[in-house]
Amino acid sequence: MIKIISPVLFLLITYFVTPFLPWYFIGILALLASSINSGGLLKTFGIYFAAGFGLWYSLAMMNDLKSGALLSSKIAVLFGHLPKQAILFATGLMGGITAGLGGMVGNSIHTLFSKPVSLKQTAAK
Amino acid sequence: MKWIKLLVSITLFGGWIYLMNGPIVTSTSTLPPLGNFLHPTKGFWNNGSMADVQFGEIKSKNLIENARIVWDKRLVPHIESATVEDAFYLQGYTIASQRLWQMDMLARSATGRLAEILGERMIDRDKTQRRMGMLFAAENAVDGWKSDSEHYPYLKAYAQGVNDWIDQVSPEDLPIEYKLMGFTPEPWTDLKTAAVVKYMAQSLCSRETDLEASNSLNLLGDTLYQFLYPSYFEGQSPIIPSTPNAWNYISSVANDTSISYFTNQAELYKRSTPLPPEGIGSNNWAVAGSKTKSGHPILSSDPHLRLTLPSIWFENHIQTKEMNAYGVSVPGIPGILIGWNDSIAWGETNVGQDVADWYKLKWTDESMQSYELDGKMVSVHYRYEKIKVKGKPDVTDTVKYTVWGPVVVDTVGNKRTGLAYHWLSHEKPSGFEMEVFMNLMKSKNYNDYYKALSSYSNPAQNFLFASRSGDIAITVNGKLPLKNKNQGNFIQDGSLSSNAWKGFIPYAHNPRVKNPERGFVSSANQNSTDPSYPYYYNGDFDSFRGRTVNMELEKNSRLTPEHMMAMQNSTFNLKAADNLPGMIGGIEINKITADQKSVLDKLRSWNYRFDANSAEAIYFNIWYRSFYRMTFDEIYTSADSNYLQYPKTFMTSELIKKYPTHNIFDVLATSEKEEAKDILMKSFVLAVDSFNRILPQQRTWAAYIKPKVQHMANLPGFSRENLNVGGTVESLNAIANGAGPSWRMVVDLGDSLNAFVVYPGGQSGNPGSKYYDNMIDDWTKGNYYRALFSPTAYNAAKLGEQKFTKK
Repeated sequence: MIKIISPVLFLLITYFVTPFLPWYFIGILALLASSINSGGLLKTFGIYFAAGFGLWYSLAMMNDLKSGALLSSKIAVLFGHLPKQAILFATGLMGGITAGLGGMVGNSIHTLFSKPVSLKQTAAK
Repeated sequence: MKWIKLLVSITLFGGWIYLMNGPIVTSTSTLPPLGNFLHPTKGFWNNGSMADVQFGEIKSKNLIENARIVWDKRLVPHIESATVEDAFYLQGYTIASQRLWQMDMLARSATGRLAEILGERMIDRDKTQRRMGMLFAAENAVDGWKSDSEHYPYLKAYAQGVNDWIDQVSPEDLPIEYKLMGFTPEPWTDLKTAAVVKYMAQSLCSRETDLEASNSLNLLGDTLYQFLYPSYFEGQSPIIPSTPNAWNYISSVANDTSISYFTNQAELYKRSTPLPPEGIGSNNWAVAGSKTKSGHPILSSDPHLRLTLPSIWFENHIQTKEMNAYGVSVPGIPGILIGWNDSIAWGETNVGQDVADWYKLKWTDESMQSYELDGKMVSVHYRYEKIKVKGKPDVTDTVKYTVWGPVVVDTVGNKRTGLAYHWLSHEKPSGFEMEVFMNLMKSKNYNDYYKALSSYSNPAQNFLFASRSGDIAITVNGKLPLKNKNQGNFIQDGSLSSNAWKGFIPYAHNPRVKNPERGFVSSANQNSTDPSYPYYYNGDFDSFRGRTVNMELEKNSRLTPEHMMAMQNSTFNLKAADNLPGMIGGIEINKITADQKSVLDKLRSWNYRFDANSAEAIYFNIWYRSFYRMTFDEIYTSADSNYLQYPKTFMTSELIKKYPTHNIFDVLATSEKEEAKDILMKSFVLAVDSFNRILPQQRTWAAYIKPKVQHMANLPGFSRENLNVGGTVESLNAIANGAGPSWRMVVDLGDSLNAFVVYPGGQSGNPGSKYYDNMIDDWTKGNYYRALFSPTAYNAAKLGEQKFTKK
């Protein structure tokens, strides 16, 4: 259960605190959330990458819709005549990678401090 | 293994944050800190979605009384305050809210502070600005302003308004350029206002060709030089009409007429400092009630400056118990520079008289610590220009100062010669020069206007005036040097103090005219006067637009605001009208092909208008340029052609008409002896050939010249390019070389005052706002907006309001 709750909690908290915190806090929150989770390192990266990507992409898209995409199209030209969607994608990527890498650190901490599961305990289950 | 995993994860996470938290420098560009920049709510995305204005109540401890700002649907602020001081406080606050980065950059750029934010690639530019004495001039200005106890507090109030905006703005709401360039605003000071004033002065009154003229004189010899570069164009239509009584108000003149310039140059002078681009000029005119349909005066003003985004102008309306003025301001300078109030309207064009001269120094030895003056040795004094550089140690440039001004070039040719720069704008003013605009905002009649002008120094402007009481006037206004004949055309001998300016033309003797018989006053950067004016002056003067304005106004009567708007948008080119008949006359029909003949027929029936869709304009342009180059091949083919002065374009029609067999037409590279008709033929064939090589879709004038309004920092995507609009330097709609009509204003001073305005930009400096460039399309089409001057009008079109209460 906790495996589902912590990314969801991460998403909710991050959504509300993003406007007030520096950009890299998405990574720190992912670190905290994933540190209570067990699981594979790459899987954790994937989960938090997806959450971070989705969150930043959606928030950016909401702002973009509010402005009628006036600025994102100009920024896309500024960054080498890219399509506007590339800027949205880059924003998602920034959120995703930061959260994913933060998640990896949290996961590594969790692994470091969690007790090893014995064969006996596994059999009893 | 677990520790290794943790270590790798931390390294990746930490490295990523470190990398994305700072700028990324590549070989071709510098990317902003991407983490911050792409933050979905605090990064650039916020600039796209944030409100243009925060409406509602604002508390300020720096107000004297409560005040209100109504923002109308074009985002024009209408400031209502009881006191003038509060009005300027609020002007600073509102302009900062829309144009903070622009004002910051203007000030930094003027005084050589760009390396501080953009890095070492800007060091040379900063050094040049410092060597030209820009920071020195701004500091002198502030020194002078402090003595004006009446107006200096207004400047302080303006700065306080800017700073109160800066103090309350959150980092995410800062202009996007700050985020891109990775710096933050610093407090606004009166020195920064002085820097913006000097930026305007550099744009408007630093143009001179002393170095190039000296080189050309050396190349061509005195006789040919005097022939090709006459000091006055006989066909000119000066600002002050040539009438027998024009100078009755000048009783006596003391002016030496000796000539003091070098005729035998040993060195070639290579310009190392930038000159303002050609095409910066302006039009203005006012017609008396006797020439208008309504019987009331109409005033028109369209200053031509570099077209940028954000625009150089900000439209605003200021009302206090003492004034009710509307018009445009330059961000960073308090007051309304061009506009109107309940009683009068005013506008400016650049005078163009030469107030910047170069002096050749004789160093006493190679250490360059002293120079000769009247046979004596005079020591330089040093000014240490410390230039901060982003991410690098500071750089200090030691600049030598002489009696003439800063030594911009330490050595020329040999190590015993230097060049000093003498510029009027370096001088300490006697008061706050910008008070002229504050006083114009309050003026009620001609006397108030004339009194207001007397405090102004530079850049000298042709101040146009019209009043609802029926007067029209124009004054060539500012400090104008008293010079010997030819002084300032060439580099002067800096070892003789007699080569200094002889003071200034007494202010009361400045050229001016009120209610002339012809029923209109006008200016378009042409000569201030004809040669009968008792004082000598030189400068860079236009030869075509002033004549066009005067011809139009002379031939028409019962004029309306719509006539004025049509004139401002006119693409008629008098240079083409002057030259083309003679050029066509030089073509021998029996020697050209059918294709060439068809081009000639098109040009014969052309109306000389450089409209956006005109192909004839391209033919003429290429033909004329080729003809000009072939005519003056003596200059173009010189190894030093980059450092020479080129004859004014009015000379070509004079040469074709009066001197068709002159030696100047002989092409040096051929053995034949060419005359005008020969090179007209050659250049025509070349022009048709060149035109045929242009892609078919680019064979209209607009597609050919690609007019644009460029972002101040040339950021792609933030500019508006390929505008479908016509015009040339010589047209009243003078769109060329990135410059053009930066504000168009027509004020009908009737019983009910009506003003029509537009500029190529928008009120907001935020590229994410719809008000960033919303007026450009209407500007290209020649449309205007009716200014909302009455409270009823602007309250009806209210976007929102801010209530300022005293804390």
